[in-house]
Amino acid sequence: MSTVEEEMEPIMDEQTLFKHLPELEGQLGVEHVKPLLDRISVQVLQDGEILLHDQALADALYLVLSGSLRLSLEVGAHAMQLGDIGPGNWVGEVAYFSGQRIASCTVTASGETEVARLSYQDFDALMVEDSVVVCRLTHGFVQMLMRRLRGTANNPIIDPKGEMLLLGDLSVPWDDLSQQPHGVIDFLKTLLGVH
Amino acid sequence: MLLRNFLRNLPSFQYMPEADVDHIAAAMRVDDYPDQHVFIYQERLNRDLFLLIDGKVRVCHYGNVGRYYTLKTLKPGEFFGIPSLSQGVPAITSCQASGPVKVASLPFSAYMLLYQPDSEIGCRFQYVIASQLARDLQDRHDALRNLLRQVYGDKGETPVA
Repeated sequence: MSTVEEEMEPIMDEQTLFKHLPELEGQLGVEHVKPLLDRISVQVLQDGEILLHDQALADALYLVLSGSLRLSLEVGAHAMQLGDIGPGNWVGEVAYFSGQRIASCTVTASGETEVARLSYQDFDALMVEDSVVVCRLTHGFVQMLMRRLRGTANNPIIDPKGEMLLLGDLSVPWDDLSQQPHGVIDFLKTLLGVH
Repeated sequence: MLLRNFLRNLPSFQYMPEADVDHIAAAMRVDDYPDQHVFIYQERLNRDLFLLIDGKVRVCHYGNVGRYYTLKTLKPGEFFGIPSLSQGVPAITSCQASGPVKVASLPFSAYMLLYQPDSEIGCRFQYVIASQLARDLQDRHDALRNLLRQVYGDKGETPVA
């Protein structure tokens, strides 16, 4: 395994952004999308490359564009697998929103994986310049964090190979990602179990 | 103690204008609850957003191996009940007072307006929600890391048989 020293591409286009963050499509005009795209770079990770080290400093949010990332906790030579996340999912948001800027797990590429990088510094700058895009992104992070909390509620089990792992799906699937934020009526229906 | 002053001192409210803090404080009610009071039951819908003002609240889960265990103990300044309330699905944890507690609650109708990012106050409240969820997930990871240490020793070494 090696640390990340990938080829950086300066831009990401609007089509790619909406493909991977479908919940933003129709929510953001070009005036909001451009400042976001200007701050995003694309990295390609090779299989086994480590993007974030558990308990080490983190300085960016990463969106999976293709491939997948494996999340694990580490203590000494031992690790506990938390699960895998796929395209359309982010990592780095726990370190950002907790305010500690410390990675809460190790993130490793599982196969060749393409990620979009948005630094915390740029996210902070966007919050000042354009709160709408940050607001929409944060709403997406909220969905993802809730999903991950649900996936980590159980205690870990030890699999036949002796590895500790959690039984939980941490990746939000495409279908869920494309759901638009629902309105008041939809929210009430969901809450009351009405279809 | 005024609730709005308590809210203003929370790190997650750093981007919230004072007028918005006042609106949120006005929509919440503060009550005292006895030891063992259950705020949220696992597998049931939660209908309020809770904020622990004073005391301790245990977040527990009846797990896949048939054991009931504590995921975390909330401290003053932490919100609880967000996932069930936001998603309209049964809670995956129970939340129970550990000793007498003071808790502020926000009814779901008010929370619903804050959870939707379509208003300015809703936009800013997304940061509050994300901050609490990130803290919850980080605490969960810390608990799992401690479990790893217990199994393999402080340095993560494999125990000698």
